[in-house]
Amino acid sequence: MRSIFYAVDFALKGLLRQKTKNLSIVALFALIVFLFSGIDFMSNALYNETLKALAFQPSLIIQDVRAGRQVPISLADMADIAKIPGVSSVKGRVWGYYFDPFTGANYTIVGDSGDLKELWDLRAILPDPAPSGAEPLFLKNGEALVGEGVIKIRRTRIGGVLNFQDHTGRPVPLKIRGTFSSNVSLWAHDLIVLTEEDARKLFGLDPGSGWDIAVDVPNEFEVPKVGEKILRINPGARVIATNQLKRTYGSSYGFRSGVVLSLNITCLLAFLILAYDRVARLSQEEQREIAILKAIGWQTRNVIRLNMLQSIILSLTGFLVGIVASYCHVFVAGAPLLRIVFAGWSVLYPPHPIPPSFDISKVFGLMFLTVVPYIAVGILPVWRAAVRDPEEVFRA
Amino acid sequence: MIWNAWVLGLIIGQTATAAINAVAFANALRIVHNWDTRSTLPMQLDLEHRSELIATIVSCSLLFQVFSLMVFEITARSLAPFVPGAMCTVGILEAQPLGWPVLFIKMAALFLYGWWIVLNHLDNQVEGFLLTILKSWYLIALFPLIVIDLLLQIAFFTHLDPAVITSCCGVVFEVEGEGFGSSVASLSPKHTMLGLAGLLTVLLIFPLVLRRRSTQAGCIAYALGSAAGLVLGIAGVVAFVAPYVYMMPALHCPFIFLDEEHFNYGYLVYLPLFAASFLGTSVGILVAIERRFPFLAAVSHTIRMRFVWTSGLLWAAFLAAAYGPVIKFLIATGGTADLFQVGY
Amino acid sequence: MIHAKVYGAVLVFLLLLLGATLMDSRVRGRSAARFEDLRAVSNVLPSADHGMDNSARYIRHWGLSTPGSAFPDYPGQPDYLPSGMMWPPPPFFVGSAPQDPLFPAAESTGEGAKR
Repeated sequence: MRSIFYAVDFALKGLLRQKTKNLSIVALFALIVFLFSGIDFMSNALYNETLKALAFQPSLIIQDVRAGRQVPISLADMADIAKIPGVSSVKGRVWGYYFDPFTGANYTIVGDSGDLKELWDLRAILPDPAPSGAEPLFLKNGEALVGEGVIKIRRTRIGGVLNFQDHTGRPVPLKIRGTFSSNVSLWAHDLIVLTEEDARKLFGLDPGSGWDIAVDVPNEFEVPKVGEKILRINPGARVIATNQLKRTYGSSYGFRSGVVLSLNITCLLAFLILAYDRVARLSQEEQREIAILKAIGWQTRNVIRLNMLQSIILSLTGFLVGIVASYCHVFVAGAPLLRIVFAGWSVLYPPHPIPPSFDISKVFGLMFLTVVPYIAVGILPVWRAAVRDPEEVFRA
Repeated sequence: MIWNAWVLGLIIGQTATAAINAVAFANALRIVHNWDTRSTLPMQLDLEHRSELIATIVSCSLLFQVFSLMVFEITARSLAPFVPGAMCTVGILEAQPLGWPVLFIKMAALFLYGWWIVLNHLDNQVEGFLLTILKSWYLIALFPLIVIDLLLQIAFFTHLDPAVITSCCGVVFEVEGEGFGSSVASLSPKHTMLGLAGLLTVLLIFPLVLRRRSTQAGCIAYALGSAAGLVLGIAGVVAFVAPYVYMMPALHCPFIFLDEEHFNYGYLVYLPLFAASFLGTSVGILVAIERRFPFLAAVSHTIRMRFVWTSGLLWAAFLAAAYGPVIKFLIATGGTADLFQVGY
Repeated sequence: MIHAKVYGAVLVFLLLLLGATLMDSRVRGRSAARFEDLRAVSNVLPSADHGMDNSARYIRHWGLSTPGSAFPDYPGQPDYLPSGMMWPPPPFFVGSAPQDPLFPAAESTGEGAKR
């Protein structure tokens, strides 16, 4: 134990003799780890969030398609769909996007006349808290629950009025009843929940149709069969299974982070060349040092071990600094530097950091990606330096 | 499915390992070609230096290989949501005929590297480069394994088809099901528990006996016992440790408890198991070396005894880790309930 | 010895920070209250997104759009939920039409149980 301490001490002294060089190695290493882990953190956390939200989504979503475009779906088939064995609930939904010409932003509009008790219980800043009791809670016409982002961009407040236009240009005033907790800002930042009637008015949708139909199938194994039967009822429909959506999301995130990462591989390579250089082109002084060590009886093995120890010290320090910095950057500061890769140029960004998703296995994975190549690259030059004959060095 | 951050990371790391091994391989070839301890040419000195290089590379490779195994498991786990039917690592490994081979090659590489390092350690203790030729041949034989590991791994991930439906741990390790996994899972938990406990007790007592009277035959027996301990240990994990960790009699998956939802408990089980069986089997290797090179007997004996001792301690750690969940369950239920009776 | 001690302290500090991030991720990432909130909201959410399965090229979810997209429908269009990918989607991006791969026979109940 004590000998390890002395070895570390000796290695550190050696490293400190070349402060600038070694500190820059640590800094660069940290930067590389920062880059790689940032990408991984972002995509993973976003994906986890998606999975969590998808868990509560209906198992099947039915859209009507004409000429390859989505059109409002007639709600007449709902009764037939509800009769399919395995289906627990069927709901025609009215929702869509609203482009706000004043701010240049898009809002997501959801018309829901159902019981919003759960939503009211959300720990949000509502002006009048939900009345206690078990009775269901509904929104009234002309009222809306509005996401933080919309409130902010329209410069209004809870209790204020939002003026929208329906498709014919008639104004639709909405009183803001409340907003959503910042916990869910990733989902609800641009969300506006209003009554179904208001939503129909806004979209110009007649009462017999909706934008899609949500079908709940509790048993996951029955989903494909139910899907087939729905297609028999309405052959022109497009049936989307949530399971399939999850996979598509997953591969899309994995793919995107993979692409960004492979672009960054150039950085890694450049860094490795630098690392190679650190050990390959030893200065006169360092060579002399090794030669003296060998002359006083150190074996090649010991010199190599000393150098490996130095490599480990440098990479471990850089790694830890990088990963902690990256965590703070992504999950505390909200990834100001990286979000553009993942977020595009949307006007309405949720400002809150994504809920973190990080565990010890990520540490191993990142270590394998960064520390292993770094150490591997150093072995050969270290050995080369260690086997040089002291006499040769002294004479040079 | 190669366009994935985890997969790319794994392949980059593995490529680095293979690359330095290629250097070692080239040097090993040079050594077996020109080695002559009686020679006084600079060439011989150079070769002796090169053997140092090989030793360094292999030591690093062992470390990398440990990482590689862990990261492979993590990668497979992280891919599970993308393949229909897969819920954990098993589903991904099943999705492709190469899955299990890659895992087993990685595990084998771990042991093979480890034994090489044991040989090297022994060789370093004595003057005269007795084992250098042996080590070089060993490394030459080992190199294809690493390359195959890398290539199979790349092939595995590129051919992983998310459109193919796979079966997961529930099916592979189904009690009374078909296939090898199922037959392991179908082992009677009670008998496996007793059998494993018996073997582990023997492996724990053996070091004490060997300390008193160490014979080569005894050491070989211990090595064989350790190998059996590895096999039986993994069978035990499938048969009873995993169900007790999950508190589910029908869930025999030996991978799920490696994740953070179960506080990475699996590492606590597998690390001592692998380390103990590795040290145990190394004892056998050392005895075999002693037979070939009687000159090394004295040095080898000290190393051997230390290994026996450490491995005994590690077996104890494995015993504690494997039976911990069982004992926890018994304490929680007051010793009256049987997990496997509740479920069926 | 002093160097090793100082470095040890630095290392311990960094490891503590790492531990803190792990703890933080456990606490914040799995907070039950947040999960409840998410459940409440996702009841009314149209869907995490059908953008991917939709004829519309926009994608609601902010995680799924690329700065590489030149423009969604016409140049200079302001924020029309950007998507349009610089790189093609992964090869296994399953299409939207109700074709065979969407509901392969093997995925049905009977087959699944046998496997």
